[in-house]
Amino acid sequence: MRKGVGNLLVLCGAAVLVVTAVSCSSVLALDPVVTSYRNADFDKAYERLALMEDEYLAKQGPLLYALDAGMLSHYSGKWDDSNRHLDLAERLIREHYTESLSANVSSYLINDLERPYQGEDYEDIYANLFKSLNYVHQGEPESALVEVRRFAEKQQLLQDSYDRLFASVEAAGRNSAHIPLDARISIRFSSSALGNWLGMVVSRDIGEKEQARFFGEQVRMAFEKQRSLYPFGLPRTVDRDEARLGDGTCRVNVIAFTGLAPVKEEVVDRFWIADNTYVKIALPRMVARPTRVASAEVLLGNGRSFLLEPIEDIGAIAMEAFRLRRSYIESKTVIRSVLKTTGTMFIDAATGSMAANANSREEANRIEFYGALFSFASRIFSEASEQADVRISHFYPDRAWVGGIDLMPGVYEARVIYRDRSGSVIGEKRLGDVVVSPRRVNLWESVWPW
Amino acid sequence: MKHRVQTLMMSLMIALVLLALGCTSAVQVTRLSETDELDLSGNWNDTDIRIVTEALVDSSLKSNWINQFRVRNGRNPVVIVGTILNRSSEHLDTSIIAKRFEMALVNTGKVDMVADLGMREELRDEREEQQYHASEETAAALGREVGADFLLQGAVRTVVDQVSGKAVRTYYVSAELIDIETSRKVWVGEETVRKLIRQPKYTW
Repeated sequence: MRKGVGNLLVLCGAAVLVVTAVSCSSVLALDPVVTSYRNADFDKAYERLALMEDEYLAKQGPLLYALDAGMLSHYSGKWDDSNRHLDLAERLIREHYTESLSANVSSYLINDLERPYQGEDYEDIYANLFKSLNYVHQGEPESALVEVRRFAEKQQLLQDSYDRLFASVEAAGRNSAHIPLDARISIRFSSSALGNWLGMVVSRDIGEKEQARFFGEQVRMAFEKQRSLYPFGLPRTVDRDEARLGDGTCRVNVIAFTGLAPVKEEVVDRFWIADNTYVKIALPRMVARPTRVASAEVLLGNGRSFLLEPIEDIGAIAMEAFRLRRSYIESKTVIRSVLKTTGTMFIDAATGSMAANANSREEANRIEFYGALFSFASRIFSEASEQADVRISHFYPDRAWVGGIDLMPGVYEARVIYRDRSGSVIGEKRLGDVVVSPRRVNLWESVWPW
Repeated sequence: MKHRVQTLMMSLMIALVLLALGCTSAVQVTRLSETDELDLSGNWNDTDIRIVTEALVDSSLKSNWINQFRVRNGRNPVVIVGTILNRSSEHLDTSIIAKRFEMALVNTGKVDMVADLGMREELRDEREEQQYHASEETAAALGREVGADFLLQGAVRTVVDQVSGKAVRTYYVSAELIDIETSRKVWVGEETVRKLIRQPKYTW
């Protein structure tokens, strides 16, 4: 009897350990950081994030921390910090391209959190874009262009990989009448108008005319070829931004970021397949955090003003990136959940069979007792381990706006006014006294958190 | 009693092994010679710099511009190092290429170099300072800089051809010597470095 109780204790202990090991939540309480961000207190948001670095690293890993810290430090004007974090993020994304087979197997047995976060394509590309902006603010246009070129290389790689994917789907469609052409792939994100616009502006201001023209063409192509991701018109400033002005004035551009890109949340469904057995499906879902800003205007101290127009819907691009992966995530989740449930059902069936063939009632009872324990542990494991991978960076903006004006060299006081759909002013951000000079990249930046 | 001694010995052994493992330094350093080729990330590195500068310097010295100048003017040509532009998709310190070039030209004994733009400002400031603070006998004279005959310029560009997990990265490093008076290019050279970079999709 004492031995039986001992075994029971060992089994219960093991079950508790397994549950504890697999159910460590990856969910992070970022509310204080988001609150500071929403209050436009970017310094505070960055500080608060830094305070929770250890917890963050333990729960979501170094890549997501680097992306979030890189963005918040950018918003708070800490260009060096931002570059350091985003450099790390870029390196980790590159390293994580090589996947661990063992982690992959684990992800089929336990959950997707067993694999290190690899980063979404758009997170990788925009890391270069924000690094480029950091270099612009630091007065290093050459380095800013290095980032834009790296960004262009990644875009090319994306374009090629989507082209191949599209070709294979098309071939499959030709070979089988039952496989419809996956129209979703045709609206892939493979060219960023914003990144190319930035390349155009920087190239223009350092006198690289040909490069500026190339980037300008890429902006137009991004709008033409990806209409579903660019539902708004080409910003009017684009045609004026390509070449340097020869009349003594400087082309001055403003870039603004508003809102927050979507985050993922877990959606759980349980499907009963027998009286006491169910399959748990936990899937990630994108939750939009769209900007409230419907229009933005730059007001200068000399009374002049100009409008900013949307150039990139980063939120929509994030949604699209997820949509392309969703079917893969769904299939994998279903396979894994069914496998886990099958395991439990197998234990139940084996217990029943062994108990039926037992030599004595006492032995049958013992088999049923341990079988029930195993079954219970298996159910707990399935329930606790089946978690959706809701990892994603949290502080990419939802939308980017651009505009431009011709100004004589000098110092200008400038502010950006943000309005909602009804035309009411919902925010104002001072840019301070900004210098316009033919010997620098005349690009100002503003961020509004809603 | 014997059993207790064995347990004690085992525990001691385990403790020693753990201690030894814990004391092992994670950092290991190995000195490499300049010619050891070691590529870790596939990015631009010291080997590329060595290959490029050796080839460009060699090409420049084989060209006849030095002798032509010496015959025509009876003195060594004076060269100033301009900018080697970084037009690549990597953050490269192109001043290393310029400095290597400068060293190689000076060491031939057939070319004189003058301080580049950045250094020149510092030197001029120092000379100005000396006019006020150094004794008359030791202060460097103003207006005695040696004017350069040629300007060395260049650029690094990259082209990347890639598919997932595989990339061919080509660096085009060009340099040219321009006659400052006539804007005539007396020498143009280019060296190409191609690298195949592979990254496996899976590992254990």
